Amino acid sequence: MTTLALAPALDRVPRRSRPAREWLAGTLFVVPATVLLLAIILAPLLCLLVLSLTDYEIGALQIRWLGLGNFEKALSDPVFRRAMGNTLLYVALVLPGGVLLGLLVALLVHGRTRSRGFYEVAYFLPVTATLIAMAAVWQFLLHPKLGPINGMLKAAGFSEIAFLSEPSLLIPTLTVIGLWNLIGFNMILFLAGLTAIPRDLYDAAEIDGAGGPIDRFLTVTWPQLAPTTMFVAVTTSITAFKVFDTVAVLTRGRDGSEVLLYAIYLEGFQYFKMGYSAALTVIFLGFMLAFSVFQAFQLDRRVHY
Amino acid sequence: MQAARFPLSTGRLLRFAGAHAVLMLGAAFMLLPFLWMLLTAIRAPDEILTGGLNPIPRSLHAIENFSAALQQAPLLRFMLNGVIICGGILVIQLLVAIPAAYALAKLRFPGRGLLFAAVIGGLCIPIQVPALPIYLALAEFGLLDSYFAMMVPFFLSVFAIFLFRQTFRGFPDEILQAARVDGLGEFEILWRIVVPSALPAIAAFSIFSIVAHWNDLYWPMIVIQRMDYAPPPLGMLFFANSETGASYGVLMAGATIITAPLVLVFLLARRRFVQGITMTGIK
Amino acid sequence: MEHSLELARISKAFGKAGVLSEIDLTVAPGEFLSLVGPSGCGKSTLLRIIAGLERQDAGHVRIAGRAVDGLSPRARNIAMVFQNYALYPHMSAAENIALPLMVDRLSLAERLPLLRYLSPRRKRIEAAIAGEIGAVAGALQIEPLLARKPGQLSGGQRQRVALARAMVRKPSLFLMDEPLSNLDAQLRVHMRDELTDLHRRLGATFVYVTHDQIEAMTMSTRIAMLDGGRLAQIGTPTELYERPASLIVARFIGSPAINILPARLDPQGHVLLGSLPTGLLAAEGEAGPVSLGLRPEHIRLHAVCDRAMPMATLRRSEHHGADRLLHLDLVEDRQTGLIVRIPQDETTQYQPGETYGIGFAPDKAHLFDPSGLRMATRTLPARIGAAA
Repeated sequence: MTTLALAPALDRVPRRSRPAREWLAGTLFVVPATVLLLAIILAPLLCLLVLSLTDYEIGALQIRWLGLGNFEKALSDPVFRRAMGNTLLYVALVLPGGVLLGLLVALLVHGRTRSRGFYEVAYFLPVTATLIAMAAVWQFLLHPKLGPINGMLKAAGFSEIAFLSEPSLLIPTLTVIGLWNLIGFNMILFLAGLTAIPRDLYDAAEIDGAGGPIDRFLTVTWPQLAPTTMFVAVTTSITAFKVFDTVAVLTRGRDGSEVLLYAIYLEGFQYFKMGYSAALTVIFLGFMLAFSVFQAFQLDRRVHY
Repeated sequence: MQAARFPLSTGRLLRFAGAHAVLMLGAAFMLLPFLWMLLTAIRAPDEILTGGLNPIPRSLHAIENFSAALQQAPLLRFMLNGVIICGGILVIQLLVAIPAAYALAKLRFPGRGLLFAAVIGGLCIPIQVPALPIYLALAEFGLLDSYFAMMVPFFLSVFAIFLFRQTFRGFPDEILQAARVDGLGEFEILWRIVVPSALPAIAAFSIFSIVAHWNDLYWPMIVIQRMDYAPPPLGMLFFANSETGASYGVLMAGATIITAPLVLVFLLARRRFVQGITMTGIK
Repeated sequence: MEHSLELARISKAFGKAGVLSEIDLTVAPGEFLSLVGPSGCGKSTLLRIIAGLERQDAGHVRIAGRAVDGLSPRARNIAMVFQNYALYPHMSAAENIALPLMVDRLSLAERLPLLRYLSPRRKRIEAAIAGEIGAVAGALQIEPLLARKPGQLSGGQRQRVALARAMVRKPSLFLMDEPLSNLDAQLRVHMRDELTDLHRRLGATFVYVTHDQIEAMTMSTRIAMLDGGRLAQIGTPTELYERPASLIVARFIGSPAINILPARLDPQGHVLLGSLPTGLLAAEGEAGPVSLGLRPEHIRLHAVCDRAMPMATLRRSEHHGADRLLHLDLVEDRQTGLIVRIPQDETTQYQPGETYGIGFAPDKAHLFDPSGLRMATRTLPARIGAAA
């Protein structure tokens, strides 16, 4: 801030001092972001909270104040309860699978030198591919008569499995597709974590006699990867909790395979029960916030250095 | 004197083979859908309907399948829509987020703490949360079924502000001081000095943004009814629904066309992609 | 008596780049051997080969009389201290120190989480280990730090914990890879002291890698200097200082660095500086250019102008506590600078800008042939400028 004090001697008009200039520039720079923040996040959020307490429907002539009525209704609504249960089951399956498989693949790929590029591409390809299109492909792969997966099962002497029509198999099938879509992403995050581990520590472990694969993993790799693992676990939970695309293409919520976002979509944008859909969205938001708070808490704790 | 050579021990050899076996098995699982999609896209319908496992198509039916796919739905139009939407979103996101991030990182102004807290809070709010009220507002103003409707909720990326703020904070203050002594205004300092140094972060965010919005289905599904505005995922959904099992070859050809652009970009710029993911770490 | 360490024709290349070639080296029990050399000379690679972290392409390593070529670092009974200490950040100092013993005495199953609680002997062994940690910690005075994690320790404290982790195994060989280079100057001098002291108390063999010749000179019993992957010279600090085998060694050892003057051999073997005879005679070698090396403290300046002496002009005089360093430029060859060290209490007043005659005792001079190797010399009775 001393810098400007030297310059303005030549100017007729005294220039604004540094803090004032900074205030002005800073304020101008954040105006667009602030306006948008208010318009597309804060105002809608407020509006959502209000809506969730009403019975508003598009085209309805009057709005009634329900208080917490929508939430009470949700708790006893079998569709919502099923959607919630399915979503939690989906998270419970995808979370450990996505983290452990991502870690396993990263550990194996990390040791490769010449073939590393190939494996990175192979595992990451599903992340870039448009999931909707690939869901249609999966639908075909899993087709009871025409798909190669049932073809292989039959060739191996098993009977065909109706992956996408047997109700009890719907969520597990969606889980497999979800993992297929997610593992490469987690692998990349774990690989970055692995690269950041100092070589010295592995050398020290080797000197200390902890050079075997299990010892190396337990003494160096796993503790060093703890922050990465935490991060991957939270992002995986959030991604899994937001499952929507595969449901929209593959099951459309039939046979009790609703998930939370699909239920919100149906209530709000197909049946236009805005109030009820808003209440479900508030519940969804609650989960998102819980994940975030958990993550912030973990970030605070990860200082063991 | 004889050189002491160290051959691969059997233990190392076993580990090497084991790792490759596991990785190959996984890779086969990851790539199977792509492979089968391509193979089916060039197969004749009668061969598909027998449901055989034979990977090599007996007769080549690629031209018929692909041209049928392009005729049955405006796939190229969907992709043009995707380009317009992703490009529009990205440009505005950068124009809005970069100055705000710079101000949050390097300038003192009233309300800075509050704004930053709002940005952090905004990070945990996905599009599905404000979707309903924004939809109502767009409907109120008759703006549904437009490019604008598809782009507007994403004009502000709090994530971009957060990422860029972290990047800009690392920029040395001495250089800013020197630029101010040289008489540069804050606007010039930002675009001519700070932004060029943050290009890796901007590239990383751009990749993240394009992949996210190219593949997004939820929001377009809400605001778009007319097919000529549909981005690729929504187009694919229309396309898949209009099709029946009889012409899986055409469906797979369509899926190939829809998937190709991002996959090709990824194959060409793999390093940047991987860098982008590790820097942003959010899907 | 068996050698603590014996290297026979060790060679190593990374890809096409040769890093080490045909290194032969033996270290006696209780020695403190420093491996020195400029960065990239292969000293760290050699240390890693001794440790078993890297495998040589050719040659053999014997530790305490035992061939260890195929053995893992663990089986070599060595300990190593790393440049960045390489302490496990998630473990306390005590756990760090305990790790080598745990691995040694407990089976893998007894170290696994949860499973370990099933072992009946684990408690007893851990108690014994705790006792040994206490003893080592006592010797290094780090008992109060044992419960802390590396992140809560200062550089010097981490250094001690790393030393303790090395000591606790009672290895037959201590390997140290620039362990002091991350400490600030003051602490480095202090730790130098402590390490020398520790070496004496343990009576163990140390192999110590450093790029800092002062560390090597002050601590070692012997120094091995590497250059370009080859052993340039091995000997006591005094030998390296007083009889450097090559220009490279002469330049590396000593601070301020040795003065190297371009000189010439006449057909009779006389060493000439410019056209002036120096009183130094090469024992063999052809007529032609040579290099004359003079340590700063071996040069005398003469105020009286004697035409038979090379002349130099004083540029600057620096105060260095007990000594004074004089920077001069040769009159005949302005490119060549000279540094002369004189005691602070010398009464002569040297004035910048003045010209002085350069004198030295021929027996203190070093002669190097054009390829940089040391040449044997004799001195002539008739001499120039030798004041004393």
